[in-house]
Amino acid sequence: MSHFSPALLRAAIALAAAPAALLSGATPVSPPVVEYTIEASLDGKTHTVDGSDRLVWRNPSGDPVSELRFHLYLNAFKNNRSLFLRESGGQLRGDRAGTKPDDWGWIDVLSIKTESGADLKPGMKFIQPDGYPFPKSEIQNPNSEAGSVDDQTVLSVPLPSPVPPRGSITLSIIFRSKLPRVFARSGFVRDFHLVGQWFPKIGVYEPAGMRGRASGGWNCHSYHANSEFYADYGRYDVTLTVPAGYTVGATGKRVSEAKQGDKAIYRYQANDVHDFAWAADPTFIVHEFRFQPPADIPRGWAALAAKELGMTEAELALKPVDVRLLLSPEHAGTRERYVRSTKEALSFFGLWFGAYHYPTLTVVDPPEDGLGAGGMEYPTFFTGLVPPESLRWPFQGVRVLEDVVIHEFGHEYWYGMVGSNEFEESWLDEGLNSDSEVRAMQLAYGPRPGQLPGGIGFDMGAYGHARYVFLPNLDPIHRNAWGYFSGGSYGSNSYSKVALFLAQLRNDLGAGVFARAQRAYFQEWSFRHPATADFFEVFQRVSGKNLSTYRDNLVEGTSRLDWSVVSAKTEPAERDAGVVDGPSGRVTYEKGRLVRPQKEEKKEGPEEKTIYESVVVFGNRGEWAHSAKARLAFEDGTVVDRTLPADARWVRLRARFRSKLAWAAVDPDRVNEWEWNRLNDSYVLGQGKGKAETASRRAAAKYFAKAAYLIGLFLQSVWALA
Amino acid sequence: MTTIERRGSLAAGFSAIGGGLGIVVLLTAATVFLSILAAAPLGPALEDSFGRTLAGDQLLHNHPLFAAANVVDFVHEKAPAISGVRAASKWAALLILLQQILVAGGIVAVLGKAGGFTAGEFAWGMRRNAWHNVKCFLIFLLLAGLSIGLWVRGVLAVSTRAFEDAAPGAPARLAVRIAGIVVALLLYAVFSLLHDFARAARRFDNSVGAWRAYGRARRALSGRWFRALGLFLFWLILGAVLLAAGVALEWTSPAVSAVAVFLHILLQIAVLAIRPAIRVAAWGSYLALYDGVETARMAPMAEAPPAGPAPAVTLEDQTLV
Repeated sequence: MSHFSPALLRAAIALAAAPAALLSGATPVSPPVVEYTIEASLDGKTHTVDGSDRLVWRNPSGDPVSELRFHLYLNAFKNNRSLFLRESGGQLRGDRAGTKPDDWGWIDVLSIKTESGADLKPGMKFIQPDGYPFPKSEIQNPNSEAGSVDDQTVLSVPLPSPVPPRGSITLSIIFRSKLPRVFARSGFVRDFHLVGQWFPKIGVYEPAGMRGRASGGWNCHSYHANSEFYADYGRYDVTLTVPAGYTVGATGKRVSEAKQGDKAIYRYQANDVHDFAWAADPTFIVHEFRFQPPADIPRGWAALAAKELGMTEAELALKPVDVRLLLSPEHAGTRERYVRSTKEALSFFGLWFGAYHYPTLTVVDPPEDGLGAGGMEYPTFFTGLVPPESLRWPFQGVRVLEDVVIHEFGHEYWYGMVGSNEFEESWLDEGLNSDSEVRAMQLAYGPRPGQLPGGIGFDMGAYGHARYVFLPNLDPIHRNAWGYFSGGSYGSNSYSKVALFLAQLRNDLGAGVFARAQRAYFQEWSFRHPATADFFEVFQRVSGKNLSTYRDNLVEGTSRLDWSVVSAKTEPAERDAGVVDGPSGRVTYEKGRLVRPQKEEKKEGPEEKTIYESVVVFGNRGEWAHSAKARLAFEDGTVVDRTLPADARWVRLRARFRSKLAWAAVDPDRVNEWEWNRLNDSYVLGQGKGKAETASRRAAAKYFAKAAYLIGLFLQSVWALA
Repeated sequence: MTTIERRGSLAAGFSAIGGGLGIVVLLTAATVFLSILAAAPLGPALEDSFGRTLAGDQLLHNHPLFAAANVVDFVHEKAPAISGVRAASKWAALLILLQQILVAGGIVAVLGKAGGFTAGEFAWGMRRNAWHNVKCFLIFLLLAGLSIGLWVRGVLAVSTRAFEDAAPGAPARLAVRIAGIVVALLLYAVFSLLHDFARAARRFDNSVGAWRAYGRARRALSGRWFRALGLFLFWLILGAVLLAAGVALEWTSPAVSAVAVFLHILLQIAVLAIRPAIRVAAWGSYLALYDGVETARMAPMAEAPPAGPAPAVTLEDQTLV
């Protein structure tokens, strides 16, 4: 064990908070909590990786630390007793775990010693920090303390002497990883290997004050079906030995390669990353290209970003990035789609949030029979996803490939550079990233990026709305990833519902304020671990507004917003009747005519126009008190807007006007993305002109006919039997 | 005496559409009627959701941002109505199956008859052959279901095992998949032809039972399988092409104005008429083929008919040929 300088740590933290201009180049900027030097060898036949690791861990806290905790993620696939398999039912994204004996995966720590040679293996044991809410297995090894628990994804290693505050420890670890058949982000299929979560990875020791902690402690959760990862930033120096002929792609930059008999050796280095993944396959088609700004930035994007952010285009200058695309042979035809969408992703995220920090990016396209490895992010490395159906009629226009590329690249920002805790606050990476993905896709491919034949189009916003309304509204956005009542609820609350919340916030704050706040959040929290409170702190500071209603209702609560038109009517206004004290004395009216005092017969004037009284009641049936715009459109084309106050449960608007009310609507421009039901947002009384013109009645007739027609086609398909 | 117009099977099929126009209209009308009936629960829901809201206007104009969410909300908010339609559709499917079984009886009795036929003759055929056709249908369901089901399961099991470690898109895997589909289709074609010919057996023998009718159908098709399968594929492909074109036209044609919506509905009815027309045409072809076989079989046994006008016969005591 050795000490390292607290001054160095302070300097590193100061650098981490530096503006984007400093977040570039090869010099590491993150506090180097971990340093991994790994040598690993892949056996392509047995799908095992034998590795040795020299790990330097620096205690970032003021506490003496007497125990280390490691993630052994691959043990999630060791048997059907792991938390992951229990929670997922052995299925994820259509893959089934362990269909054959050789399909299971695991990781064994064969040796773990300190630099001084102290053997830590005897003391190590598996722990279940999140509990184990399932019946325990009867198959246990009573002689093994380490094997006495069902979930073996977290390893506790007691130390002979504590790591002092700000001190460090160096460990030598020898491990063997058996990859599972592709399942949940990792594994093999035939010769394809996606090697993720494959080495003993130390957890995060959070000092007091970090992410709201009262006291320091390990944040090292079990691997759950509905959770991803959390780790500290540092340096990786990884040497990979693979069978000759295998093409390799990995996190970081390749610094050397050599051949040794029937083996190939590749060395990769990466700074400011919190994980390391790699892929190997002899059939990969390699395509290397350079993202070269400004030429590769889509036209108009820089100007739009500059306008929203209140910056100059020069201030938003991006850096070149060397991209290595590894394509499965059956997807050779998708190369240009990968290239284009990767460049769009680099442009969008770079312009709006800050330049991509790293000089390299590796994009892996998994084979069709290994799609469980698709759509996954690792630092400077991600996998695409090309389901075979997505390349065929009628789904080619849905743009699954582009969507996944943009989403997974987005994680280089929301997960990679801003290192939120995916176990406890998955919304901070998946949610922010879903919002970014929706915006990037719409910017690149129009308002409805997904297209089916016949002009049917949809966007991720509509998809998010669908998940919002269809799932039981039982969970708030913010909670532990494994704490949601179902996988669907985790998905909705971590991804799409967050995109709705952020779209709501953007509409309320204005695109410019929102963009500046989000950029500030990225800049301030790059290479650090923010929490929900930090997100709101930055947004409140930049916007100058109290956003507690959003946090309490939308992020920490399950409130809905459901403004509606409760009732609407329009009829001729009642004419004046009764006794009225006017300036020239008391007069009496009957049905709008003056009857007392009787006046001389006047010449016939112009016929009095009918006045209509329209009454509309708007009501908020949801729990969230939020304002909305109300719109009344009259048959003569006149349109009147009013604001319905946030604290009102209902509002009655009355209008005396020369024209009948054609329709009334609340939130006609749909700025309230959190709105639950759009069908009760308007009521059409009649046909008007101009903006008041609607074709609603025809719609009902047309879609009834369409429904009957589709049923007719179905009925005729039954004829095949007779 | 013969009341059948002799001509090529294919030509007979085309001519059956003209001769059996009433049947085409009947089948189309039945489809439309049952479809409207099944869709009825949606009526008030659509009126409520789209007829009296801006959502309908946005959907009709295919609003780039709002239309999709409106559909989502409709499906969510009006789930009970949609469930009602689903349930009603299942019953409608059962009814249309029954209707097809009945109509086949009428078709067998009158299609291709020289000089046309009356509604009464058609109804008589339906009534006479109803029970026979039900039995034929059950036999078809059993034979075709078993053989196709076993084939598909077998191919899946074998290919899963054989190609477990084969690369995606491997030619052998693709070939097996295509072969699996082609054979399944052929099996369906074979049993479908046997089914139709077994029903056609009633054209010549009022008393033939379902099982014997299948035997007769097998004998009639013996040595003519290529021709029969050719006819089957011809009508299948022609029908598929026409239907695909009709469906595509309907799907891609926008209809916003009142006139356009009206024309759109007419187009939908026209598309729904394609399948009946093709089915009647296929029946025309099969019956022509079957009539030829049966006539040839019966010719040596029959004496030459007397010259002069044929005596009046009733359908009850006389086969049609």
